[in-house]
Amino acid sequence: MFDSLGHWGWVAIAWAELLIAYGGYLFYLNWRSRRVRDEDEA
Amino acid sequence: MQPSMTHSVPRQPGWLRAFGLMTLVLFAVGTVLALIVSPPDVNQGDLIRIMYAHVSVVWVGFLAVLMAAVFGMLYLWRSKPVDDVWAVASAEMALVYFALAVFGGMTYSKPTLGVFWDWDARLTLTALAFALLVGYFVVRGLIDDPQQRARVSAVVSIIILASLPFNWMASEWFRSIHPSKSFDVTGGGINDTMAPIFRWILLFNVLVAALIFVYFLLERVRIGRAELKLETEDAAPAAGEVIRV
Repeated sequence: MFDSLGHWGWVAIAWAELLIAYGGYLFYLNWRSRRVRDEDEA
Repeated sequence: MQPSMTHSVPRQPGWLRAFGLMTLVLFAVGTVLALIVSPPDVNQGDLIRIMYAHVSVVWVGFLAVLMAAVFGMLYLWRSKPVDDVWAVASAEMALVYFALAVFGGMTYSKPTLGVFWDWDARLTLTALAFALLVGYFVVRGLIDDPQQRARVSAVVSIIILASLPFNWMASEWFRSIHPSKSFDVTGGGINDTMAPIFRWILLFNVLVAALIFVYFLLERVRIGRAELKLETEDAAPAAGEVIRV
């Protein structure tokens, strides 16, 4: 499945993992912050 | 007047927003350095560009575990809830960075060494640390009492920290598919077999990963403090008890 992947393909996957992790954590922080605000308003 | 501001997450301070934007810009610069400026390696070719991402997250992952354990120890010593907030924020970041270390390592290993994974000492200890970090949050989810939850998770974070020296030295002490360190400032001297351009781009990306860690940590603690305030005020409103956080 991965045999046809060239060097740049692997490089793209590795750096995409970083972007997904950082973006995901930002999204999680935003969700957590909004949850506190909602609980406070309730 | 906004009464809800006493509980809600306060507005992000300007300096923290500026710090976040600065880390974003530096991340873009680090990415350009790694993907465009860095020359291909004589042995690995363009795969060397994965090294900048992989090594930086591993180092910062170690730092995150250290901080989780230090704040865990602080909690065990003085039982201040805010220490647990710092500890859990650090542990969350450690989980993110160790996940990146494991999956990024597999992404680096397959094209360079021919396999995604091997149960050698270094990789096994990294997988174990990752599993313990998952366990840290499972344990937290299972314990309702905040003090007991903080104490037990502090002990777990200290156990994870205790495994890190073995992890750090595993590829020197045991046979491993994981390469030995080409750049190492531990052990009283600098072991540097890396060409200067690779070294400086790596160090820049380590700095960026560390700054991203600091930004996420500060932001997570800010939210955690608001949650703590909400929990403590909701827990004892009738008694009029003042709980300092």
